[in-house]
Parts: sequence; C-alpha cells; structure tokens
Amino acid sequence: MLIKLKPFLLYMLKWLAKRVGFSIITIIITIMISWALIEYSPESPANFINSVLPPNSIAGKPTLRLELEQYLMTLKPHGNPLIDSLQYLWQVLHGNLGIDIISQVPVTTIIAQALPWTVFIVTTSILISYFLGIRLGMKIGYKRGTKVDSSLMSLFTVTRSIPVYISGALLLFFLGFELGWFPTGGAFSINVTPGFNIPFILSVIKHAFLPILTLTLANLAGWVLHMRANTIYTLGEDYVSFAEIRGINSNNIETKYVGRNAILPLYTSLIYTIGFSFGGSIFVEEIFSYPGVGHLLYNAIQYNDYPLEMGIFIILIASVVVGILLADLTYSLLDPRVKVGE
Amino acid sequence: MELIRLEKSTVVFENEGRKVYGLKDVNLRINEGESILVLGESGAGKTTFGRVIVGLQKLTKGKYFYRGKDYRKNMKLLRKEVQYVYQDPISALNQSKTIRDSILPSIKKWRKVRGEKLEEELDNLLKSVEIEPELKNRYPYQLSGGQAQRINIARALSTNPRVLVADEPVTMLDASIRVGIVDLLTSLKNDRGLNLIMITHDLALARYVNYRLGGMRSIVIYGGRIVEEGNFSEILSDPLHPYTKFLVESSEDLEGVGSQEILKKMVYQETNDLPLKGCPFAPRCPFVRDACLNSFPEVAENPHRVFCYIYS
Repeated sequence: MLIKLKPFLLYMLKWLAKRVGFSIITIIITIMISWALIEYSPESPANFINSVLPPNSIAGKPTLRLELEQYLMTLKPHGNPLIDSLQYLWQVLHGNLGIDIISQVPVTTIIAQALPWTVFIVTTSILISYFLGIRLGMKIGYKRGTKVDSSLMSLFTVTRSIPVYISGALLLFFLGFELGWFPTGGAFSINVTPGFNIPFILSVIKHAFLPILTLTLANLAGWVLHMRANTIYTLGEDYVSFAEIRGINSNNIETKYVGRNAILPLYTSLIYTIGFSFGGSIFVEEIFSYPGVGHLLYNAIQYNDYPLEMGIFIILIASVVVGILLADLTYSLLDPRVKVGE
Repeated sequence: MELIRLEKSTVVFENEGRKVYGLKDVNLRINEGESILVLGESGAGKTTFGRVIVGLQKLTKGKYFYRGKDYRKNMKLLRKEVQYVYQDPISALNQSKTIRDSILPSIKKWRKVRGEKLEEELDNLLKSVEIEPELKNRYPYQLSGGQAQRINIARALSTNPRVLVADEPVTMLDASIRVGIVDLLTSLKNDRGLNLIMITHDLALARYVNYRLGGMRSIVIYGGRIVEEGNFSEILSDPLHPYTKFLVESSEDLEGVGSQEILKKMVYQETNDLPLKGCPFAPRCPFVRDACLNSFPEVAENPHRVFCYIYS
C-alpha cells in the first residue's frame, strides 16, 4: 500500500503545482493587461476635476490639477506599458495598491472596509438561492408536464428576465419607502455601536435584508430552471428505472440516484458564481447605497479613480481564478469519474 | 402453476397526437419454471413487453396478472420476484456509486441480512456471476462491458427473483464475450429454477439459448402484436407468418434477402408507418389481402399458433 501511495502522492503534488502555477500566471497576466489598459486610457481623474469643478474653486485650482497630473505621471514613470505594469505588479506583491486619488487614503484600507459587506450579502444570497433552487427545481422536475410545473416554469422564466435594478428599485420603493419596513440605505444604523452586540447584529441583518432578497430573487430562477432540466434528464436515465425495479424506496431514489447526479453540473456553477460575485453587485449596492465593493467600483469609475479601480479589479480577478481552481480541485470529490491520476 | 398472465394487454404511446401501439391485445400465459424467447426486430414492441412484465410500463388497456393478482395490487411481490437485465450495461448502473453501494441496498431490503453477513452475501453473489469480489469497490466507468453486464445480473439476482427478463442482454457486447454471458444466464436458470424471459432480435443467439435450455417456447412480436407462437425449433424450421419467414431468412443470409425480390419488399422502410387497424405487417407484406387492412386475424393452429389470414 505504502509503495503504491508514494508515486500517487507525488503525482498529486505535481498536478496540484501545475494547476496552482497556471492560476497564478493567469492572475499576473490579467492584472498587467488591466493596469495597462486603464493607465494608458485617455481618461484621467484630472479631466474629471477640470470639467466638473469650477476653475476658481479651491479644488479646481490649476495648481491642484498640475499636482494631480504629476502624481499620475509617477504611476507610469517609464512610459512603457510593459515595464510600468511590471512595476505596479511589484508594488502589489508588497501589498501596496497605491493611494486613492479622491480621499487620499490607501486603497487597501478602503477595500478592506467594503469587502466584508459584499462578501456577506453576496454569499448569503447565493447560498440561499442555490439550496432553495435545487430543492424547488427537483420538486418541479418530478412534476414535469403538470400544471404546477408549467405555471412555476413561466413564473421563473419571468422573474429570471427581470433585471436586478428593476426588482431592487421596486423592493426599495415599496418595502423601504412606502411601508417603511426596512432601512433604505447603509449597512447598519448610526445609533448602534459596531461590534459583537445584539443591536448591531440586528441592525446589520435589517439593512442587508433587501439587498440579499433582491440578489436571491435574481439568482433563484436560474438555479430552479437548471436543476429542473437536470432532474428531468436524470429521471430518464436507465439506472433510475433499475432502482425502481429493485424496489428501492422513492425517497432514496430521489436523493441518492436523481439528486446526486442531477446536482453535478450545478456544483461547478456555484463555485464560479461565488468567485464572480466578489467584485460586488454594482447595481444592487448602488440602489441600496450599500457600502460594498460594487458601490466603491461604481464611484471609482465615475471619478476615473485609477488606483481604486485597479484594486477592485485585482480582487475580482483573483476570486474568479481561485473559484475556478477550487471548482476543479473539488469536483472529483463529487463525481467519481473525474479522479486525479487516472 | 400459472405465474404470469396477460389478457388483451395494450400499451398506447402518443407522440404529438400520433398514436402508436407498443403492445396490442397481447394474450400470454407463462407457467412457473417456464422460460420463453421473445423475438422481433427493433421497434416491434419487445422492450415494451419486457417493461410491462417488470411493472415499469403501465397498461393502457387490458390486464396483467402476476401470481393471479392484478399487477398494480401486487407491486411489492413483483419488485422482489421480477427483475430486469438490459442491453446497455453501463447506463444501467449509477455512475456515482460503487458496485458495492449499487447492490447492497437491495440485498438489505429483500434478503433480510444485516451486519457482516451482508458483505459475505455480496461476495457470494458476485462469485455466482463469476466476478472477483475485489471488484466491488470499483465504479461503473472502471469496468468493461462484459463485467458491467455481469454486475447487472448480480444486481438483478440480489432480490432473489423468480423471473428474469433479459432484454437484448448481449447486443452491446463484443461477440467474444456474448457466449459467456448467455452461458451464465442459462446456468442461472437451471441452478435457481428461474423463469428466463429472453428478448432478442438475434436469431443466432436465440438458437444458442434454445440449444442450451432445450425446447423453448417462443413468441414472435411485430407492431406490438404476437404474430406467431410455438416451439422455437418448429418456428425456425417452419416459419408460418410472412414476418417470421422474413426474420428467419434474413438471419441466415443477408445476400439472399438482397437478391430476392419478394424479400426485398419486406425490408423495413423508415416511411412505413404502423397501421392502427388490421395487421401491422400489412404494409410490408407481399401476400397482403383486403382483409389484412381491416381486421387482425384470429389464431390458426397450423401446426403451431399463427395470426395470419393465409392460414385462416
């Protein structure tokens, strides 16, 4: 056994190193390209300040603009996208993402404040919609061809087509402004002290409720329809009929034969979706003035705030690549046909 | 003792408003210990017949009695006693379960064994289909077609069945391993006194099964109808129904079919829709008469049972 195990472990390590190596290279190249594209675009925060602020205001002073342009030039000292982006990468590796142009605060500090909020609402809503979606999708799949099936199908097809900025705005208007059940902005009330105490936690949940609801509704339909289709496909598989012939009880067939196999393609999607969502949900965070990464990105793009934009892009790139890597590494745990080393 | 009785059993499939008979007015009795051969080309209704016997396919009309009781009221016994082996051995196994996990639940349920005995029972079962017990921790994708089919047979036997419906059990296997599987099925029939219902389009295979088991009754199905019924060797040496004749001729030598005008006419065309009225073979039959188009003939004994106007 031991003799067999050793080459297998070696093989595993080699495979792992290769996959992780490729992921790192992907991240590096994507960061460099994004940086060069942004930094060498004709837009500049200086333009924004020039056009929006009156020239005689303090902020709009020509000296400030000059200062800003000088600072911007320090970001690309060599005038060569390749060398400059390598230099940026070197800074990133040292944990230095630069200074935010508008607020003059290090980018890492700003992102560190926003990221937990985004992770909170996005992961919660994805997990809720995923588990609800596969349960519902399977139930509907079992009832294929009935009235329940067709009416729920049309309902979910409609909800799937409603963009989050419509459903979010409607929820905000009715539940937030009209009925006043939920706060209309922010991550927690100003009356509570942040920390591990009950009023704060309740306030956080209350503030996050509408954003999470909006995102859950937006994602739910996709999971339901996907799971329904997979369930119907799996129900037609021969091994399901054979389990029935042998008198395996129907609950067992539903979970171990149908559910277990129908869920496989959705598992990968789940990990991807979580990865993609770290960039924040721009529309939802903007509608609910939720202080997450999406909100930050929206503002950064408005003001051409390069260092902040780039900082958020790095989070986004890394989480997508890591998500795909994780999906790849863990898929073999679910599907025995995909095994490392065979 | 009567085991299975079909009375005017009919299965209708509807596809975009078009009706097709999977089975039509099938009457059949199978006694305990008796094995039969079901012959016919693809689309003839053989698989529907098999699915009805195991209780997977509901009847649209007619009756199916298992041990004298209507099948719907006798499902538990049917699940235990009637098992199925199918032509595609890999797709019949759950891809995300090991062989062990595929077979154990039904041993647990039907053989009432627990604990360590369970593994022993599983090992013996695998040995009885000539599979090394060590293979039980493998997944279906790690098996060859022949191994997978043996596992399927073992799984079917796990409930201790009385009837084994083998629907084209070797069609998808290499010629070199076919005989092994058929030998296994026939010896299981002899050792356990199983009722083997062998469904096949392959007359050479049917001949071999008949050689191993001897004097088997067989039915020929076309368009969901039984068109001929009798002792297999009699049917083979003296086919009565035009369809059976065609089946026998084309199994012996395809060149003969290609060169004879009368046989060429009988070759299945994709455009041949099965008629809902009369004899289903009428559109392909060179001896067709008016009566064939309107009603299905009564049985004639000449010397074995055949349903054709030529003999009535």
